[in-house]
Amino acid sequence: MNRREFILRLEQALKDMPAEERRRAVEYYENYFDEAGPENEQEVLKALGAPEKVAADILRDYYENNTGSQQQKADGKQMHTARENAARSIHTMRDKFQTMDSGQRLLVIVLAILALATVAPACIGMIGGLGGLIIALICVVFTIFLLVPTLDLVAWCCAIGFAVAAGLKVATNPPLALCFIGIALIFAAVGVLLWQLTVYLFRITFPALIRGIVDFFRGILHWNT
Amino acid sequence: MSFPIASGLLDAVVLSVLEQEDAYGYRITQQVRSKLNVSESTLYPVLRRLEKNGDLTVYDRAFDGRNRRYYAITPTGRQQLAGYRRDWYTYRNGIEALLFAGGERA
Repeated sequence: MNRREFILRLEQALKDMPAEERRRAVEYYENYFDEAGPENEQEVLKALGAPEKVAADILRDYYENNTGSQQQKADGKQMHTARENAARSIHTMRDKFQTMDSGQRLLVIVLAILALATVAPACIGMIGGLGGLIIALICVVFTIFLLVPTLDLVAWCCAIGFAVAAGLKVATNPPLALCFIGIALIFAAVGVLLWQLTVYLFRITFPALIRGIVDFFRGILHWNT
Repeated sequence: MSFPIASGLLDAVVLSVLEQEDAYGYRITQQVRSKLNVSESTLYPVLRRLEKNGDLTVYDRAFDGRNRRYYAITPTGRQQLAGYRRDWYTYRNGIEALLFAGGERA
């Protein structure tokens, strides 16, 4: 057996895997032979053993991995499996496409374009609606983030205002001044509370929100890997 | 050897090798085989699985007129490795406490 033969038999033994998985495995062993150098080819072939056995190891790990994800489904992570199922069906579709002759491929492409043309207007409407909803949500969130600090500022200004007024009235009208001081203290209390809320919003909620958004988009980007 | 190497342990070993520096498949295999008796075909499934889990990434570099595929550990991979190391201490201490309860050492 030589290197060429090993690779061919490996490819053959992996034929039931998604094309991408098979390609990666074959590339790895091509690379492996390259690194070992032609002078070590026989040695490597001997060490690797039968390509069917190498393939069996790859297949076992691949399918064990996929069963692992079904356990996650039981844990309530259905998203994940749904995503993997989608990825797998894309793989199968890609495989099917690769085995078609050029006439069949053309037909598939034409049908796909026609389908897209039919569905596109509805899709655009839905995307528009969804986009509007997202923008509205963002506005609500930012309003809260702006409103709380603003109210806090207002409360502190009132507190200071009443304190100053109390200072001005203390000589002429002591009872009124006392009353102002009370009001100033109430505003100060509200100010402290709002400040706590502001700190909470910016230190805890804001990073969590950003992280959530980032994870969401990362999820979209990597959904089929 | 009397003790087959569990796949979690192989994950940890591969991540440790890559923690030192990025490396390509052949080199990782040589490095692991210099210390452990694993077959040459053991590591590809491990590398592929770790890549899918996001514990490592791959990139290609031109070398000698061909492609060399390097593997690099990710931040997730480092976290994973730290977890493996903690687990390994617990595991090793437990086994040793039982095996050498009489104070005998190999």
